[in-house]
Amino acid sequence: MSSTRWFLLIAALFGLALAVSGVLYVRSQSADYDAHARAVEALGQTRNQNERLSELVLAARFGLLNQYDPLTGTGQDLSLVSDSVRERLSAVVRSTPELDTALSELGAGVGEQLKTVERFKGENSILKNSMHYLPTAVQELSNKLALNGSQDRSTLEVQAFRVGQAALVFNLIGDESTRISHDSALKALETSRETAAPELYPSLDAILAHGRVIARMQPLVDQRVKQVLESDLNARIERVQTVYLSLFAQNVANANRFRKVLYVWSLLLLLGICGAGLQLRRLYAGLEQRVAERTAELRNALSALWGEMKLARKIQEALVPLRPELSSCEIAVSMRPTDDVGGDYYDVMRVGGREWILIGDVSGHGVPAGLIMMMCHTAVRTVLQGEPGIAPDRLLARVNVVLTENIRQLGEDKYMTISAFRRDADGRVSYAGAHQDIHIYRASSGKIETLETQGMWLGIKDQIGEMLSSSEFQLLRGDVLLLHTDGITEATRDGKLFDNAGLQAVLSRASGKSANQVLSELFAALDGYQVADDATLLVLKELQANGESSVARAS
Amino acid sequence: MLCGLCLTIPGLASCNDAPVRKSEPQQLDMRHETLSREPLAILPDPPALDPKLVALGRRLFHDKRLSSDDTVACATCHDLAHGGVDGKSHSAGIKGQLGGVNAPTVYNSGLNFVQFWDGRAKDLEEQANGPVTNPLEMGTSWEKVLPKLRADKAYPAAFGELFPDGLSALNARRAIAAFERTLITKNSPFDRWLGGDQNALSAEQKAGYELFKGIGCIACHQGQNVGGNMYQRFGVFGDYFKDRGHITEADYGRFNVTHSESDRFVFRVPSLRNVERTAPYFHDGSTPTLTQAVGVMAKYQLGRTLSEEQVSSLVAFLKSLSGDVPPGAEAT
Repeated sequence: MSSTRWFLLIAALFGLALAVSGVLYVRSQSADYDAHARAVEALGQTRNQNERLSELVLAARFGLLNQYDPLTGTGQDLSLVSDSVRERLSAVVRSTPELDTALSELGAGVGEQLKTVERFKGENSILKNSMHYLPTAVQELSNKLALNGSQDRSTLEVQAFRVGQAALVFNLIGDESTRISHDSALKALETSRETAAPELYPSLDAILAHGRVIARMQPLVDQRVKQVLESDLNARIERVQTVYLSLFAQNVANANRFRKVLYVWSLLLLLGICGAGLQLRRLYAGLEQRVAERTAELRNALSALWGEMKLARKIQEALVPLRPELSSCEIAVSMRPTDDVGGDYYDVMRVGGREWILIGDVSGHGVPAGLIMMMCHTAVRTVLQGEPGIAPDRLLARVNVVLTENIRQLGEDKYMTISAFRRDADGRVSYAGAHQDIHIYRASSGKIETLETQGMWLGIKDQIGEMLSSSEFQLLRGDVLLLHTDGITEATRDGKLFDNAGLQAVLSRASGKSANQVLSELFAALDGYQVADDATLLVLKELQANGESSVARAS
Repeated sequence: MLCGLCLTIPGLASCNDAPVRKSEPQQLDMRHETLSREPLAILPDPPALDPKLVALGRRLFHDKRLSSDDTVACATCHDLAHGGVDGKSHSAGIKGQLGGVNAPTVYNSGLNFVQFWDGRAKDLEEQANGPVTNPLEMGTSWEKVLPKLRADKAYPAAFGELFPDGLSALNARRAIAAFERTLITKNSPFDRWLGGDQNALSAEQKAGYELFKGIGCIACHQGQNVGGNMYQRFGVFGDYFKDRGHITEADYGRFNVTHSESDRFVFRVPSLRNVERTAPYFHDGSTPTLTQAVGVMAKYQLGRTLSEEQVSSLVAFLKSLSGDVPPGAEAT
């Protein structure tokens, strides 16, 4: 598997592990103890408020509470706190049908309890009112009886007082015997009313009315008190609590289970991370080794290439004559390629009694340029071997045919500038081909003659014979011929070209100097110049005296 | 009073110390209430509510756009300058239609344990729904009211400042309820007397209070609001409705809510705070004067006839329950 895939796999596994850890963590936290405390508190408060409600109802029933504000407030508190139970419980446990039922029963129980309390308040008020008023009414009757001096005063008074007493006892005890006693006291007074004086009716009726209210209300009120005190609300709270606690216990058990799974998972994860670490380490070590191997391979390939390049350069160097010689003249030459293999070309040879000098430059440099230069060298030599006296323009036309074909086969977009010079025995030089300008130092005048070259570059068209022509010039004793490639004239220093002027400056001081000296001075003048291209210089000094001076003329 | 009690009962001196467990103060409260001598208590201070909320509620309370034809505001029937009522036996809603019951006062209404004569609203927020949607009163719906309020740029801004969800029916009711909860009429002569000012009540008023307790009024009209914390049947001794005649559905009272026969003719006991300012009386607005109202109560609720002197001293006492109009309720 590739290292990228390994990394992706490890990243994916890591993401998955994180997600699983997250889920396990959330599940292990599913028992929220704070929320649980609030839920239990709400249940406890509901119970407390209900107990307080019962206490207050009892207090109100027996005259210890003389206003209902605390009772009303407690009822509202009970309602509020029981309303909050459902919300608080559902914050801890998921609702189940059993819990829902228990909560609904609790809500209904609270509603029922509050309704009972409301009825109690109304009925207890009526009972209390009559209980308060009865003694007053009896007293009023007694006062009236005293005023009108009635004969049945003592009987009525006694019966009225009996109603009052029986009501008091009945109100407090409320059992069957006290009820009978109260009823009989009322009946006795009712009977006596029949024979009483009419002006006593209002007082008697008031006593009887309140006595009857007490007889009716006392059992009702006590029934309400009993209902409140014996309400199963606490049992309903208990039921909710039991169901809730069992659900919460399940939550806790679940949380604990997930916590254990989380522990095991964390351990596995740790092992996984260690494993991944080791795997990465191994991968890294393998990578290092492979990088080292690949580097070594590259180094070997490079050195092999360099070796090949050196070989190519050697071949190139072997092809061009290092210390060429021609009759009656000095020749100094130097070729400095920028890469190991250059694109510059020169040749100097004597063949079939004719002497030839060639100089050229393949566009670009490096191995392809060097290769083309070598092809050119072979082609030139081949043609000259067969036809030593050939005119320079025809030589180049024939070389061009071979070169153009070869360049095409190489698939390279290259061409070549070249000038060919044929030196005859009388010092006449025929030349052809478009290359750099030719500079001749004339010893007789001390001046420099510069000849432009004309024609067509090689390697572009198959047939260029018609574009070429040969010209001539005569070299006399002491004259110096200077040939170069563009690497020399295009050398720069501070943005300024060495140019023809640079060459001419050195050449103008050629008088009395050997060809080697002139070459050395030329290179000395180039010192400090940036040479960006292959650079070749060839200096020829004529030593034999050849007739009168001549100028180049078209052949 | 609580502090005074604390000092006199050993072991209760720390009753105001906070924090204490919830169950403790409850028990202490009960002992306080059960041992307190007076069945009536001084009105509490208004709750500390956001003044901006209260101001918004005050504005809505006076805004007639809460009715279908922009003629009736809450304040139309609950006139804050006249005891929080309109003085009519039945209030006139939109197009002059008469409501089913007498408008109860809005003063101290936040202290009532339920709202309306029949207790059908559990609090003021719920209560505020009633008149807006009642066809005889404001005769509209919140869906129709809200666009009118929204068109008034001041409302959306004020609501937006107070509520995350801005202008809504519930928030409008919350604001109105908040304003109403501030309408506590403090500093009545009776409360000053309860607070220890012996000169706050006249001798007649003091006698009236003793009578109030002695003849049984106190059985229902008790607590800080002198009522408003329980239901009671209208007509314990004698049939008030038969005597009055022409029984309407509104006379059924709590029955209309619970449909329980035992709740027929049962009403929320009204608060007697400011009662001298809230004529005419009872749910049917049938009784124009306080003197007559006292007579009706004595007859049908207490089963007794009162002398003129007794009625007069009771009325004198009842007048001592009139407190100060709170600052937010003064005329604008």
